[in-house]
Amino acid sequence: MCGIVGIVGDGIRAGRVLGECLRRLEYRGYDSVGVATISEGKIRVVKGAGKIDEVDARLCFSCLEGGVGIGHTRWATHGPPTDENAHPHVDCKGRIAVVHNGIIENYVELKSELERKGHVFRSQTDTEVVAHLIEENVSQGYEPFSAFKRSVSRLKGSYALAVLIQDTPDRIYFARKHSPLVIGIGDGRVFLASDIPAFLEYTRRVITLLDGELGYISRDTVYIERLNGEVVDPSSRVFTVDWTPESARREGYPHFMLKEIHEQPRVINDTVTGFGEDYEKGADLLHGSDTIFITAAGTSYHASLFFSLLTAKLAGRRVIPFISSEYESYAHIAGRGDVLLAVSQSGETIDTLMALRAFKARGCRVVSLTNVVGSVISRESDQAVYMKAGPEIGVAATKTFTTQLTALTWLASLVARRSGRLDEGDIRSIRERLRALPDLASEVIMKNEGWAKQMGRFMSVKSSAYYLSRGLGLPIALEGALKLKEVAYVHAEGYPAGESKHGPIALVEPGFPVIFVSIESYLEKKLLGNVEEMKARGAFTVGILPEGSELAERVEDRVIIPSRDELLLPVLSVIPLQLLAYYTAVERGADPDKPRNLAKTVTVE
Amino acid sequence: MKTVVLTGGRTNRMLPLTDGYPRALLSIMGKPLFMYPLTSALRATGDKAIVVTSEDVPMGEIVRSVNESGYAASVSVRVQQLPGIEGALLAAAEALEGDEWFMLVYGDVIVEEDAFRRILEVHRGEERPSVLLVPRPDVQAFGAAFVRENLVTRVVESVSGKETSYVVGGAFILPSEFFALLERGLKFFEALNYLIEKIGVYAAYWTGEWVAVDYPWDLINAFYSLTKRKCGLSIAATARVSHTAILEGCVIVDAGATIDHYAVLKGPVYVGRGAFVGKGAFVREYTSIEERAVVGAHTEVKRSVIQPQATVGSFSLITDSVMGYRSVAEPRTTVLSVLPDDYTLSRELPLQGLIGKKKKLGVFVAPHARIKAGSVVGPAVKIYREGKIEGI
Repeated sequence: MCGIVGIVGDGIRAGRVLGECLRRLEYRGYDSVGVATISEGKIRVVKGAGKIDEVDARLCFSCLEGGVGIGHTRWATHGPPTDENAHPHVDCKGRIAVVHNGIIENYVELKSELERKGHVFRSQTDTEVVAHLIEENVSQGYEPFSAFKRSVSRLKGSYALAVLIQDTPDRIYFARKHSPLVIGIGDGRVFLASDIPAFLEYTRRVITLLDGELGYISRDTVYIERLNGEVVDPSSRVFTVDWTPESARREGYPHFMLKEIHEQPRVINDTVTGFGEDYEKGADLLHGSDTIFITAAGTSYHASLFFSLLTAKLAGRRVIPFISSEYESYAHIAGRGDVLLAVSQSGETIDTLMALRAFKARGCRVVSLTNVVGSVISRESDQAVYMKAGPEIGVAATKTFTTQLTALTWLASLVARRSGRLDEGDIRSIRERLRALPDLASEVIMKNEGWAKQMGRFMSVKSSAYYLSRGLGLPIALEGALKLKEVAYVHAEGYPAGESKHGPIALVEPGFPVIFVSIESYLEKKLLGNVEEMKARGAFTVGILPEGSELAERVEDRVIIPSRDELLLPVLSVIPLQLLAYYTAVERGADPDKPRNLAKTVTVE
Repeated sequence: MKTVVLTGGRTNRMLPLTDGYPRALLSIMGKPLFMYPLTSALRATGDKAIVVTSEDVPMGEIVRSVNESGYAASVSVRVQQLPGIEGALLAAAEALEGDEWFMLVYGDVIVEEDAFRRILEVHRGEERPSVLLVPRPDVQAFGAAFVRENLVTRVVESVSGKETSYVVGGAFILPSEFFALLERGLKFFEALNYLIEKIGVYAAYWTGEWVAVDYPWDLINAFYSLTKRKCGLSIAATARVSHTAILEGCVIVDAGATIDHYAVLKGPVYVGRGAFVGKGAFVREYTSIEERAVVGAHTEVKRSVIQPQATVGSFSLITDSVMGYRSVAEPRTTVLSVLPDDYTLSRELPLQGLIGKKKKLGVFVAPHARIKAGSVVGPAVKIYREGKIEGI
């Protein structure tokens, strides 16, 4: 996901206005930023890696003159966040500038075709082919708009494009397929953006472009046509928005947390399809180590605990998990042959970074798993591995947790392959099974949101709850309890079910909610005993259970996960618990997106 | 954007409360049911509304309610000629004056205006048709939707199992071409599925309070939902509240109502215009006593809705019940409400999740029906005008 803006207008300094618009879109991407304007008949481009304010302070794109310009804020998925890879991208002569959101699927073919014709590429992105493609069409004698249209017709994949062509200095060309793009009509200026908040400060009159539409804007024109050439009357499409920038960004969901829970099938799919070389190299390092340590904080720690249990089970390897802020007790036992796997959603978590540095100082090598390409932790590690959850706005991690679990399942499987416990056929089968996750996750959300809403009402009047499990389910139970605490402010504890009778059970009284998570079938009998213990004390028992679970008839309320695959169940089982925390918070009148006292990225120890 | 509010139809599911009485005019907190979606939608859109009703609903009553609300200038009323939701929509088509989009709202849904704002936001974000979707555990009792992220993939009139948990929430934003689909003979849901396939329909998720008044006991949930939003102590200037009465928590006493000596009202409680609560009566949480209804001396009422001009005689106990228009529970009536453990209902019970593990449902009394003095009735029964008693 990236942010695009464009502006044409009289008497403005495009660089400054584009900067303001980009700041409104920073939630869509923040790895690198760039702006191109046309002034005195020439395209000028300023771009670089870093956050908007950093890049502006360093390169001053706000200083760019001219009344026409485009801008971009990037969230890297293909190619690291470097100055070269930042948008806009230009053609060989610097007469065409392009910003793009989406993926050009056929860029490899297009790139080699254009390279054969002598075009020189400077970046590792898929976007640059668009600039050269238009250049090629212009050089064949097509006038700019025709050249743009011919180029767009060659693109496969998803795109929102904004393009400057020096020969027509008063226009911005645009095209949309799958990725969003809107036009804002202000007084004496027209905007283009991937999202309405970009220009809400300047105008509330908006045209939403539909898939397959393209055209151009100038100071006094909005021209739109469909891919089949049919011309659209833009005047019939103008509407006035009366919402706040924040509600616009939620895309109709009441909270970011719910939006991100619903996005999980898509981002899990992005993560699974993104398993590449980085995972192989990470697995090589982990396999070659004497001891594997894994560290993280908060939700990421639960994912790490899961990895240690899964790797022990699949690969027969000992993995020592520890909470990042406790690194001083672990670093001194690490040596040169060991590897630390550092897990952080933001890649900037200070506790994890400190642990990483302490381990490096002992001569350990470091593999990192983060969601942010080029983040501090990934830069300081020997091998960075990424999940592809996209930016997460809600403070409580949801989609980043399930993509962490997905990524770590694959990493554990690759380590197991290297240790000889799994063969190539097993690995192929695991990948196939992981590919089923998005559809199953979608089914879990669709079937259980109603349950979560009802259970949330029940939970909202309780002062405490237990989340119990065994084995691979334990990290899920811990995460479920953490979510309830974080967003709904209901005290909850995750506990190994077998340990519950050594203390926690003292608190159980009639109506006390106890949620059981069952993942591994061989542990069900034992879990059943724990259910009975709790019921005997009047607890209200709830099960998050796989299909065919023996516990289904023994608990008072249940969610049945549509799978028995123990590799997939952890990801799927946490989803109802996320929904439960969300609805409990809503029922209690709390804002789940802004839990009190919490910050998205923890940068102080 | 104009709103079409549907108030016609007299579903059998609302019996016995709709025995000779239109559903749209059932009263809750002093207003007929249809006024809630109508006014919420008007506040959200800031535009006009068309109320479509059927011939068996007294149009004069509809118009009177609209006039009393102060929204008369924004509302026009149409009577449908053809049956079903399709007929109702076609009756509204002309009044939309060629607008490209309209909002369709079921008249029996109680939901905050923010829900209508949300569906408007979703529609405006993409300029596509949109449907309000509400997560519910008992989706089998409603129209249901299947989704993928924020796109609706299919709508169905009913599901048998738990294939989805999204209820079609009774608010839609549709293009005017929708009428052409209905004219071609497509049923409402068929036409919606046609749009889903051809141009895409967006889901507007509503996670707040939502009640579809489709069964008699839904009125109790509706009252809970309405008082949950915002409720304090409010006594109209013309109400008479005895100085020995005790009013606790959220209690609203409307104009001309009387609360007699030593009555205790423990909110949320609503006492409608000209209603009477007798000496020593105990009116407990989630009770709505509508216009000119009477609760006799030393009577206890809880989690119940007493429709206009109904009477609950003295020394009675009424719980988890709805008394129909002008019905009478004669003195010393006792309602039993605790259901057996294995009792199941196709949708959520009133206030389920709030009243603990015991499931409760009392009696539902038809308009003008009488319960004889000293009767012990319930749980979960319907009482008709001619005295017939039916289990639920």
